[in-house]
Amino acid sequence: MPRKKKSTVVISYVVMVGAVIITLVPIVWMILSSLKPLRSQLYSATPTFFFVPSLIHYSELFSSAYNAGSRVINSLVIAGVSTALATVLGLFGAYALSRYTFKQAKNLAFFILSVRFLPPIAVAVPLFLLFTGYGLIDTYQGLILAYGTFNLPFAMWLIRGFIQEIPKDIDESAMVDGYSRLQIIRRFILPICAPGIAVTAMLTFVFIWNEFLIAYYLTREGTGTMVILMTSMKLFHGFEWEKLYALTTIHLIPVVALAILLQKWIVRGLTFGAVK
Amino acid sequence: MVFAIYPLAFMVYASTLNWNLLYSKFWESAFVGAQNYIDTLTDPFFWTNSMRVTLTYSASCIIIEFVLGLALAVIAAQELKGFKTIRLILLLPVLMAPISVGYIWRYMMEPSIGLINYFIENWLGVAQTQAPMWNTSASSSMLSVILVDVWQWTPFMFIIFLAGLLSLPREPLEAATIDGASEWQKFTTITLRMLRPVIIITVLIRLMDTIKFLDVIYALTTGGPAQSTETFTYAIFRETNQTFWVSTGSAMAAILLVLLNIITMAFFRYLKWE
Repeated sequence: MPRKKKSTVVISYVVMVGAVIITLVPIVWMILSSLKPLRSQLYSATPTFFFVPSLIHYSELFSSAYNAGSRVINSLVIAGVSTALATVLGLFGAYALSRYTFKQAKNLAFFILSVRFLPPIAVAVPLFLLFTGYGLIDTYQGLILAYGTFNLPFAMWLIRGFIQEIPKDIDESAMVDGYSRLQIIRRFILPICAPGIAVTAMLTFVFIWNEFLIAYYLTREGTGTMVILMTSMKLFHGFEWEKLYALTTIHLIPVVALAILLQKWIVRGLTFGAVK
Repeated sequence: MVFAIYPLAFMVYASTLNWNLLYSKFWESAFVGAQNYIDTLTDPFFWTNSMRVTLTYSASCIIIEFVLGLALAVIAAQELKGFKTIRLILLLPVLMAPISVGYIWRYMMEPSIGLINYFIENWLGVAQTQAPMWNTSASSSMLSVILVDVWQWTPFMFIIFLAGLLSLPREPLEAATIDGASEWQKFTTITLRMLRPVIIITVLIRLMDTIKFLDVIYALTTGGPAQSTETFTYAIFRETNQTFWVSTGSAMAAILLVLLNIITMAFFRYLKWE
């Protein structure tokens, strides 16, 4: 292997660090902005870099004027349960897909992938009407149902990729030993695929957590998610940037936490759509 | 799957009506057949604005993200020290809500009080009247939207290409080095060709995303000054949500779906040739 040229290494670091800076500046600026107590500090002609940070916006968020607390709970409940639903059903579906050979398997796979390509717009209005008819608007059940079913194919696709790495022989020898299919999943597939399933769950969660359009159509005051609250901070006379950014920062915390926890397997999860 | 089919069927049905949510229930509206489709497809504004915007936006984003993502992936593939952490940090924009990203950039892009123009004016010495107007001017709004999309999604391409690069077998590359090929030749003829399926799928996914998503546009420009950043999807949104012409919106959505399907099938057919 030829020695790496020093200049190549230096340039590489410069580029990567530059990329990190570009990536982080907006985020850091946002967090800083959420800590500025006075509106004048946000609107100053020269951006205020030095100020006394204050958590006042965060506390105001949780007052009854904004009721961010309920929104946080809403987002957590909806995203959490939907993710659980999609992941569990996805696990079973993926197992079925990979173990049983259908004649239609290829077509089914294509159809599943195409649900991911569906623009939410196309489905939002009819879904809204459908849900209104059943009284599902602005309810947890309605949203969980919608999100669960929409993300199920994606979760199934990802988990299937992970399951495929387990040779079928293990299944067969286990069945010879007298295990039922369900037991096979629980004792063999689950432990081996745990990271993959975790990543799938994480990606599904993040997707629902960040989702805007479906929530916009299907919620009212009762079950609005954090994202919807963000959009309502655009007032007639301007934006309430500070509160918006405080909310965004809070919104980011679970995502970042999950990313750090699962970092080793994120790459595999994200790329399983692409790298076969 | 049922939840996908029923709404779609209803949407097709609605597109054949003359239905405005404010005026009537759908079973009371007149049946106008394919009129909505014809109206949309022959509307010059549709072609000169929505289509143009969508195409420009999608093409620019994908090309820029592809080049940047690939370049970053090639550099990161060297796996120098500290790159693992850097990868994690770079992934952050992908995990953020697109709406949030839109709002963050909107503030930064404000011509007078935003961070970006501050740096442009003070570090590069550009006069305040000549600094770019970003999202407040129809001519530069497209630039702003593309910039934000690139910021958020280049890491996506980067990560996928990186994974692809790291999983490539080494033998062909080593054989080529022995044969005396240069770095550039090795890259273009061997590496890129082996990456081709990955590239195609990633480009497809991103293409669908740029056409599907209106989160960033909604947050950043709400369709742009004078609808200059209004993609097709956003136009559907506006039609359905602001003017309440659900029937026209449905027709447009149906056209969009057909378009997306055609594109997807084209890609898959190309993939099967590999």
